[in-house]
Amino acid sequence: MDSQKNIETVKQLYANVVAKNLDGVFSSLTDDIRWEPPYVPEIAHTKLRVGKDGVKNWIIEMAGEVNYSQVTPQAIYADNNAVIVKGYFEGTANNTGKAFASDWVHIWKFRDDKICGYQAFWNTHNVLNALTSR
Amino acid sequence: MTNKEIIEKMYVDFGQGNVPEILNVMSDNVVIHTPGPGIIPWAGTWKGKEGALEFFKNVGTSATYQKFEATDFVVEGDKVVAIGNADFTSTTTGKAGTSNWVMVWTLQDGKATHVLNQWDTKAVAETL
Repeated sequence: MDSQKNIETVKQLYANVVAKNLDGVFSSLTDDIRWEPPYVPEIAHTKLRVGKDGVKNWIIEMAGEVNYSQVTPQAIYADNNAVIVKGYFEGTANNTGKAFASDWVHIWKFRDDKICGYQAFWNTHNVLNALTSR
Repeated sequence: MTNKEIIEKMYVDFGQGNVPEILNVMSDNVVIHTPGPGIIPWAGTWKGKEGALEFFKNVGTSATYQKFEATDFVVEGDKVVAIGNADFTSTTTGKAGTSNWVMVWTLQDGKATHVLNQWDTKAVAETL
């Protein structure tokens, strides 16, 4: 396992997200990718997804619920088959227009040089508040 | 001990409620940052050993933990990232909750200087 190569793959993935290059994003994922945001029942896009179609649905549902004005990776670490990225995001809830912000941690798991797992941690309380407060 | 072994032992000490040993891992200027709302007694930024003591006291007194498990560790240089989950019951409300968590530890000379402690804050706040 090449940690540096995995780090480059993750950096490229974030760059592809910013560039809205979804083909680039999906080319770095395994077919059975496990996509796990922090699950909040009231937030549709936080459901666990498995497979590339699941991730595509996640993107659609996420874009329907929230709009990120910034998603900033701040630090990146790697070891064996995992890459950890620590960062910060700001955004607004589409339905209320309320703003939210949070530190976040993303965990990327690798198999055969491709990303087979994503797990995210962020301040679920903050984001839910923005989505539900009037 | 390696940084990973130090943090692994810290979680064992946490499970045993061994606060002196937990504090022994903290540097004098440690910063523990736990994003979350004020209803979570251990959310916020805690500085120094006194802050760390208050943080762990609040963690320990606000809930009992039926499960507190570190399932994975990622280590690079001075960083140890621990990933896990917990089942807990609020000592105030009696409600039960569950949360995944991640803690990003920065160590210097075998002591923790910074900890980012991320939980499912919505689940924790509702439970506590």
